[in-house]
Amino acid sequence: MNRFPSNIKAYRPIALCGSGAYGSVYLISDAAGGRYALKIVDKNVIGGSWEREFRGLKHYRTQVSEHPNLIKIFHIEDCGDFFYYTMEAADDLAEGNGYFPATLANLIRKRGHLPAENLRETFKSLLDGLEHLHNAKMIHRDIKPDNIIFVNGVPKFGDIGLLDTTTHTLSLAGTQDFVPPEYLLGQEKEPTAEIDIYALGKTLYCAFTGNDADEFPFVAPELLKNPEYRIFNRLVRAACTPERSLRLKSAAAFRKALAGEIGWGYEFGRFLHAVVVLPIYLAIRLVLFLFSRKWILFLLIFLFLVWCGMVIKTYWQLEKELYPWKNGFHAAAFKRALKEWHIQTGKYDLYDFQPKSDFSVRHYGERHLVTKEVYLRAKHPGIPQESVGLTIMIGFPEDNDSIRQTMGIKLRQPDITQSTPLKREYLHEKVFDRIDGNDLQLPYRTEWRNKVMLLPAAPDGTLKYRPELPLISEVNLTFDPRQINGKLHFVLTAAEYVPLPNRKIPDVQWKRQMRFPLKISGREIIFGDALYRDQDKTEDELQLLCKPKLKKIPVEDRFCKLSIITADTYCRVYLDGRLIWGSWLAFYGGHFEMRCKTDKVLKVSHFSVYDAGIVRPGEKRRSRLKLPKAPLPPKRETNTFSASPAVARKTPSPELPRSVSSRPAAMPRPASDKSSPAVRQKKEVKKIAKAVSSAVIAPSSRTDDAPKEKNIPKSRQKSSPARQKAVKPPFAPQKKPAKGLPRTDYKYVQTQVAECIARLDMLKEVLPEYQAIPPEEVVIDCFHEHEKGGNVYEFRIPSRKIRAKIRIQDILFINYRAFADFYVGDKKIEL
Amino acid sequence: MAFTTRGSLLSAVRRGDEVGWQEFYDMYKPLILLRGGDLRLNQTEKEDLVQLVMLSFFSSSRTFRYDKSKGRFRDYLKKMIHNKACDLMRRRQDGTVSAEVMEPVLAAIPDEAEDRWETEYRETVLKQAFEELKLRCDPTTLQSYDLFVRQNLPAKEVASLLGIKANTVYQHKSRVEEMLRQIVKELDE
Repeated sequence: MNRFPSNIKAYRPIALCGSGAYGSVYLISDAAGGRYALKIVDKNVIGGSWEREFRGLKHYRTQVSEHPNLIKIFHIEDCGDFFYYTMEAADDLAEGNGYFPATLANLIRKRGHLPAENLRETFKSLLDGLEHLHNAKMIHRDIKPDNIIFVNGVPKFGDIGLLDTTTHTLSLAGTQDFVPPEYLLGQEKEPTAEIDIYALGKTLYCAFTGNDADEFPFVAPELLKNPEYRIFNRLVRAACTPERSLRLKSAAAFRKALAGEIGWGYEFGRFLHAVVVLPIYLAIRLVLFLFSRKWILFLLIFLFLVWCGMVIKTYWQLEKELYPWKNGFHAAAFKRALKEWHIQTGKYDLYDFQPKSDFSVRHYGERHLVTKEVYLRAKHPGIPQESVGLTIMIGFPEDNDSIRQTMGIKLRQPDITQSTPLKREYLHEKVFDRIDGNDLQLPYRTEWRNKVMLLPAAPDGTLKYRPELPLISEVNLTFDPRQINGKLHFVLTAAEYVPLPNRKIPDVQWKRQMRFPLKISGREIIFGDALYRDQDKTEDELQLLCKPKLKKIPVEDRFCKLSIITADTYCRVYLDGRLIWGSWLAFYGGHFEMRCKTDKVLKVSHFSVYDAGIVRPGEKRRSRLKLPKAPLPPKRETNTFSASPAVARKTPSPELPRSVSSRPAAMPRPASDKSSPAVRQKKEVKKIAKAVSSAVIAPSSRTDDAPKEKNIPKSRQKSSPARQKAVKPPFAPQKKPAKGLPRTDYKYVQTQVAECIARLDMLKEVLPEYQAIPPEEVVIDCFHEHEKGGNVYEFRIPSRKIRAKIRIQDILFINYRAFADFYVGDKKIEL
Repeated sequence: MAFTTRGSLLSAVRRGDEVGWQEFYDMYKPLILLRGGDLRLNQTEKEDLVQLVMLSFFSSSRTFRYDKSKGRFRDYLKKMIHNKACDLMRRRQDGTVSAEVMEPVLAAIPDEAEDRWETEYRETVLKQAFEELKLRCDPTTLQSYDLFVRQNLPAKEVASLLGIKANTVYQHKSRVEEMLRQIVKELDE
């Protein structure tokens, strides 16, 4: 229809602007001389859908036509075979020669690629119009440079002939390059607003490159050197990518990208595409490939089924081997064992008991035991991480074949309970109480311990504690490292032994041993690897027990306190509260021994042994071990013994009793003594001490023996009996001495007080003439237990007019010291 | 209705989809003219050959659907051109030319002409493949390939222009070449 219809009388055609598949566009003027554009749409060309197009036009005119960036429609009329509508006419780009409408396409044709500043503003305006259109539930469907016109310089979307929201027909004439690929390929048929965004992206591509749309995405390199165009390029790539999920989907996203911000949604979409979509796509391709070659698929399925079968079979076998008590016979046997041990079986199901090892057969002479070790795993709250080992004696079969027949019939207590009644008692109290949750967190508590022995000095270089240690024991040893330059070995020898048939004499040499070596030089204490010797092994067959937690520590200017704790299933060694060695080897009871390889005098100022078993708070401790109390050592050599045999010969000391049974026969009990055995024993001890002191002191009282005292410290010299009458021992209490405080503890507290005071910087300010306080000047009046643990000692230092209280508590890792009520004269000092 | 574009024409033909007249005409007119020249047709006859071949494809409607049972499209097209050329020659000699007379004409086509036909067809396929690539490939990848391979820019510069890493440029190159190879293989089957 290139001829202007004669039945349109109100307008006069000026020029034919263009004609397309659906009709022609004319530049017209009305009677008043106003210029408009008039589009004639041929109903026959559109076909049956012209009514929808017509309805869309009416909707557009009433709803969105007033937006400044959408072309205004003034008049619509149906004329039978065709309908027409008038709208704003584009500016004229022709300079006096006809009419050259100012469309974006014509601008591109005229100027090539357009400047970035103009483009940004133009597309911002266009986006406003497009957003308005989309908000009115309408889509343009034919956005391209030809359909963007400039009216009075304002960009507007023209050619709204295809506006509709319901039609499924797409315009293809000359606009294929502006339609998304999925619509071109027929994968999508329902038009959405996204096709407008896609087309606008292509339009922007044409505008900033000057290329045709079919050249997308190629851009001249020189254009990309302009950062503005790079932003446009990035925007166009995001808006026109073939992958629909990655495309910009709204006018708002387009506007953001136009400002240089590609939204996080786009970036996340790309990431998602790479991570999710692509793998799925590849997987589908793989499946399709496999389906195309069915024998590969069947082979893979067959292999998968074989693999599944193997896994199930292996699991079934493991299940059978690892959990034999799932069988009712074993479960009954195990429940019976638990009942014998008074374990509440309702609290644990049988699956909590994991086997440590399979059945083991141990030969003892002609018969052998079949044992099964099980472990309580730390599955239930309250059960410690390190599980309690139990050994069940399943039976005494003659061969392995009869295991099943005897299993569950001859259940016995764990073999460890069969050694002594004491150990059985311990196990029932300790192990099973732990199982029942009475004592779950800390099996060993220092406040529950009970001192059972103070060892006197020993003259030779070895310190041997021969009486059997308590089952849970704490051995404390205080020595002066400054006096040692050599090696020390602390040895624990197990008390129990198994009478093997080949062993005739149960000797200590054949027992299990733990050895803790350390080397002391003038500056530092170096710890070696703890060693373990299994029973029936020789000295050369030592195994590594554990590495030291600390390799070395410097020698400090004070005594060191070494603590060896064997409690429950572990053995730990601390030096001044610091853990040195730690092992989970069970070691019940035994003997302690110290071996010293040094030429100098080794001073052990304190040696004590505690039975560290359970004593509940408030319960009176009942010592299980009938151990003799050690006699008080003589004053001169109380806490000193020589590591050198030469020194020992020069200062002979009497044989000290190691137990009541080993009391020397030279000191018989007087027949006339009718006091109680305890009193009698005390008197005997005093006699022995007196004899020892007289034997030691006598030579020192001679004047010709004066040089021998050179090695004796000054404080010791002061405390010699020759001077006792003239000079009072400085450490002796002047008023009431601390009652019940052993002398060694007394000295230890003195040392601690002196050391702690030396660290008080504040005191130096209060006492300008302050000097270091010798420990001997500290007088301890009394002491009592603190409610939170440890002891509180009331002390005074007469020479400095100081009186105060100090709380001393030695916990495993921490040595706690705290002053209270600290007075200097009458002035109380807040520390 | 699915619409064919310049990019998807061959693949649409291969799939058996309907293809439009205009796209088909634009794409294969040069090939038909080339083959007409090889068969020693004059200019008028070559134009007629194009019309005849097109009419044989679009005899019933404006769209054409290829039947795969007829073999490869390139062979089918070649055979169709030969047949229509024979028709033209027969018409030139008033229908008196028999099939035996035509055989020397076809046999006289030089080997260079066959090579030219192959080359031309390959270029057409490549062009089609590139158009197809545009529909499948990410624009960034294509731009990177274009700048790096066709414009011969250094990878570093391409990377800075497109805001990607230099390694990615190489990856894009190999990816595009792989895709092109695959598309050409599909189209040429």
